[in-house]
Amino acid sequence: MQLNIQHVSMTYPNGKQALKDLDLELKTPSLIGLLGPNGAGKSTLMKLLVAALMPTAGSILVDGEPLPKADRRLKAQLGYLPQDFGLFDELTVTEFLDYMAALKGLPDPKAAIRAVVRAVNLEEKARSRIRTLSGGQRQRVGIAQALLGDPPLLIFDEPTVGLDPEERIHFRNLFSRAAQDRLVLLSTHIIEDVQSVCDCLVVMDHGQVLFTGTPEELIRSAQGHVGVFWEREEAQEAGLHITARVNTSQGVRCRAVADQLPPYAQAEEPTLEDAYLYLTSREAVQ
Amino acid sequence: MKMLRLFPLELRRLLQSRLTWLILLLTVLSPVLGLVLYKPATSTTMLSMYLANPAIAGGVAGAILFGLVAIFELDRARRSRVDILTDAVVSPLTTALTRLLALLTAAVLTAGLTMLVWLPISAGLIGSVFTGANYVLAYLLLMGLALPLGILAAAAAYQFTRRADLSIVLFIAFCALSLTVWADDWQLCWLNPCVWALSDDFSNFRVFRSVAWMRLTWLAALAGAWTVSYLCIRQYGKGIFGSLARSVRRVYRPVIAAALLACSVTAYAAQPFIDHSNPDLTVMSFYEIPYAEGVTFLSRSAQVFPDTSAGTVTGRASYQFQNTSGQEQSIFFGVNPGYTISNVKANGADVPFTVSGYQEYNEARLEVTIPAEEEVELTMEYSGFPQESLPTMQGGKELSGEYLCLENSALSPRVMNVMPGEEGYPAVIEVTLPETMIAIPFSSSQAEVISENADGTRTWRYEHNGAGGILYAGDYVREDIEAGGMTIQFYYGRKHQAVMEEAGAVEAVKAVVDYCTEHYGTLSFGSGETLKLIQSRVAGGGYAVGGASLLDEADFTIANLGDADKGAIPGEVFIHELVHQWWGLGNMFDTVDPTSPWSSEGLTVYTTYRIVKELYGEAYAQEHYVDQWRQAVDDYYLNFYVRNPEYLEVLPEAVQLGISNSLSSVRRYSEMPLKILKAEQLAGGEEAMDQILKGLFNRELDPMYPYLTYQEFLDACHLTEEELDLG
Amino acid sequence: MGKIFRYECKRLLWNKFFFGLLLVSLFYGWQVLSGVTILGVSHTAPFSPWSFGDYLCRMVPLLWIGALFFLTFFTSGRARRAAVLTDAAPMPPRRYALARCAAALAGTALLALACLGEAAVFYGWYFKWYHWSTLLLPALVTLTPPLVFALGSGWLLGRLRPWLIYVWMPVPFALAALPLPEALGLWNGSFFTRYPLTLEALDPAFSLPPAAAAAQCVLLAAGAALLAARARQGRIRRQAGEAGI
Repeated sequence: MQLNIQHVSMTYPNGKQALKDLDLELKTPSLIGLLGPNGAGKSTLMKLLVAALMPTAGSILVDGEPLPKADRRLKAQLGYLPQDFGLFDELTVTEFLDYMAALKGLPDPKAAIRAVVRAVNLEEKARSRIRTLSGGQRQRVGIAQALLGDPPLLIFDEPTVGLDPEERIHFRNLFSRAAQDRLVLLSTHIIEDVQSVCDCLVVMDHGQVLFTGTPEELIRSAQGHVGVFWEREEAQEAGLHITARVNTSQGVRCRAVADQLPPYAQAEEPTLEDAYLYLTSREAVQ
Repeated sequence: MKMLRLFPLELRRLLQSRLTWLILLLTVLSPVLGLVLYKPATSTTMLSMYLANPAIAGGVAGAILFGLVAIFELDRARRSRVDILTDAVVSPLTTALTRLLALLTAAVLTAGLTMLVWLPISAGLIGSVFTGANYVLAYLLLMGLALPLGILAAAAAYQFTRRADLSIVLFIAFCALSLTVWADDWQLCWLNPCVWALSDDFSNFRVFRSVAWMRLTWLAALAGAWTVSYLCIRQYGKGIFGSLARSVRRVYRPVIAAALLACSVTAYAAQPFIDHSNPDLTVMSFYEIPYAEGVTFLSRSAQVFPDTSAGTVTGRASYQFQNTSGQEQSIFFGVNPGYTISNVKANGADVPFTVSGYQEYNEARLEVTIPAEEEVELTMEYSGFPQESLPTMQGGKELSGEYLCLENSALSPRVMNVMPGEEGYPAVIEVTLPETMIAIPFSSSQAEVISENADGTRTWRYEHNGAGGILYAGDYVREDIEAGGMTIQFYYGRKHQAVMEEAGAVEAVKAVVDYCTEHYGTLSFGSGETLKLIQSRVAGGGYAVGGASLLDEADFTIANLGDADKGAIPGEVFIHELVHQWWGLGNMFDTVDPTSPWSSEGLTVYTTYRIVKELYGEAYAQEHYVDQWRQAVDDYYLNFYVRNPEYLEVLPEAVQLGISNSLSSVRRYSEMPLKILKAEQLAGGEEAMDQILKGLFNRELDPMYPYLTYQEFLDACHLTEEELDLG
Repeated sequence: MGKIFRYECKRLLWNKFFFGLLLVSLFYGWQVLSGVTILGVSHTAPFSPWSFGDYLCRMVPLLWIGALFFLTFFTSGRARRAAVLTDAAPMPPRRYALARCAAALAGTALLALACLGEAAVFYGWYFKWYHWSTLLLPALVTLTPPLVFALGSGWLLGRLRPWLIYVWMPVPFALAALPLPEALGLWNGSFFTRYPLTLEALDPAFSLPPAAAAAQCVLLAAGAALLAARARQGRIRRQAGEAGI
């Protein structure tokens, strides 16, 4: 499966421009991490990809076919978990999944439901009404409905919100396994989630793509721009983007990213988080 | 104070909710229920139908709606778990108080809006007897105060239980109690005040005061309950009792709760409106007190000073007795249970007296021991708020600058066990009233002004013969009408002047009295020369004594005067109601039997037709009376159940009765007059019928059963029931 | 499709709200039957098609409100949040809308049937009268057009703005207060009290003047057209925050 986003812009009726002339190419198999600060345009991009919105300019091609035409084909292959969604509280977990399976037109809904309920660890709650579930359990129902029928395209917007660390790791691995033969798009704030599983990163800010490439490439781009030093007066730290402050017995040890590290800073090996912060902070300065 | 800072925020949040606006809208619309569905005020005065009922219905619906919204709002924080955030910043007690204030403010806004919206509608429906004071008081007391009660009750239920479903059930049950089992208990029906009638032409302060008392009693009770529930608001992860134990550490809180509850209990127990008369109306022990031996009544005088702004009465009464027994004697008086007796002196010296706790027929028994002297002048002072006996029909003891009615012991203590002297029970009553009021003794005697006082009052004086006596006074218009060989003094409320003039009241009185006196005879209760016709404040019916007769204002409302069943135009309805002085009051009828068309209405409608025929000609009477009766009777005979009585018979008895009742008004108002018309034709014409009716009107009464029956009518006509079949 | 219909029916009908509405309808229905219908209208029997039609006309406002309340299940805030998931599914919107529409129709029909059943019980209980087939035509003529129109128009309004459904609810009450022409007498119940009197016969059989029949046909056709238009409509492109069924 291949999705081509060509010169896509999106301006909401209230005048807010969410995406500006975006170009992207997404191909199976891959697990693409979509990173960016709040308001960067990630959710808008996802809504465009699931045909919940129409771009105000540009086009999106699904396997070469433009989206309004390929709408049905896209949806037949799509599993989608939005950031903000609702469930039918009056149904049980199984009933809701059965409902979604019927909407998706799955041939063997029972088996598919069993599989996804197991995959999201909800066997115990399968017969419970959705209104009785906790926030994390509801999130898992959301993920389960996206996974129903093994769709070749999975789009997850902040899927690990509200999950405990153990569950997060579980789902991270689940997404990674799924991406072996599918196209999985994962939008998140949590760097760890993408660092460990994504083979490709897209960093966005202000409706534009700042970076496309592997995590290693992103880390490499921050080489020589990450350093540590002992805390100084505020004025002397101008131009630095402090990413961590650790209190020690000798004073406060600071970690920072900057275009040009000051002489008192000692260069360090960048992490993905450093690299991401370096990228977004540089953008902010520009 | 933190709460004052939070209050505008909370109010804004509340007013941003669509649910609040929906509830507000529904509450504003809810008085319409009182026009179509829920009509607790059964009287037919305009204010009862178009003000009391909508306001009470609005209060009931509004209180229930605001109660539910209170539970919803209190539960919302818990439901959305925002309480975890807010409790971390503000004490849950402060939040609860702020929410309550915001809800109460929304209720006040709603009540204000309802009053604005319904002002033009009520004014239009009520017509010329509409007044702003009645409107504001009715909406404020009958509706407005219900809303905070609903909010307090529901909020208390929620704060105690902390569960929305349970508190809704509790709150609805509390409302249902008021609407059902407490509905006739004027102090307990917190939701639907016991108001059976509001007067159009006279003031309603007594009813409003009683409702205000009930509302304030409940306001204190529910505010107290709310305060206790406020102390039970869960804190620090503790349960209800743990939280209570913590909250009461600030002593002023439980003190306020206790004070509110104590106020409520005191107000409940010490209500000044209703006496504690024996509910068994067959007991008349006060009439069985033996006469004091050797004591005869010489005269009495009373000076009565009604305080029209406070609704109270102060008075001095003086009694002259002749005591020939040579011993001290106990004299018993009936006094209104609301009065306090003081300064009882016999021939200038204090004498012992007691007032019984036992009460009967709206009187308590005052016992005074008079000395063993031959001539005894007994004086006493009395004052207080006159009490009534019937909690479900309050208003009879209305006392204001517009109207008052002081009956028997409410006017001055009534002697119960003294034999009349040679002149009976002569009395001179002086009453001091505001200058707008006319004093009207309910007898043949006339009151005259004996002094104009500097404070703008006038003192009236009249003579009376009797141990009791009734005095009406009010802002009346008096018209003297020469008719039937006597002077009719026709008194009606000034507010009703326009309606009475439009109905041609004076002409109608003259026409009716002339006609009925000529055709049937004089009224037995006329004194020969004069007859007072007094329009009374709504009382549930009229009555008559020698020289005076009462017309209930409910019979002369704009709506009743427009009732086509009774006459074609308002003046004719007026004639109809006056004819009831002859057929209904002058000649009484037993309670209506739903299976029979016979009632006072048949002869009254027939007589009205005859008078109208004389006034406006035969063609008019035929078109507006006979033809309409015939149309109504035709419709009646076409009715399914009349045609197929077997279907009526298979229905349960209560249902049968309901249907017969709904059909019986046609029978009474149309079928019976037609039958009388047929009887007239069979008996030989109008003159013959007049003679028959004159004979019936003046017949000798059986004191055991003084009612005029259908059989007596048929016998007088020498006809059988079958002969009058209209088939 | 069948499954979606079944689940939507479950959502609509298996909840406190539906049972509350049913109870209210039955209570109100019994009040009407025992307070008004029992007297018969226009000199006819309580179980005549005319009295029965009058009863139904009095029930229509409540059924109308019920039908519109069913639609709020598809337009409420919660439903709109769930729509982000269902919209991403490949089922053709037309079929999905049809299934939901059928569920709303089923709910409304169930409410109406409850009212009809209540009348049947009432007639049997009080009059031992069981000739229900004579009441079928007045029931169809009185109930079907307004209820189909309620769903069709409510669907359209709910799509424009969800709160418009609530505004639409009191319309039958407004109609009851309006002096409508004779042809529209079925819309406010005056038809059943006036028309039989013009037939100049005792206990006339049920008949419908052409004008009233045409008015009901137009109403039914308008309702059906609105429903069909909704079903035929393709996917609604949603802008953020816009509602849709």
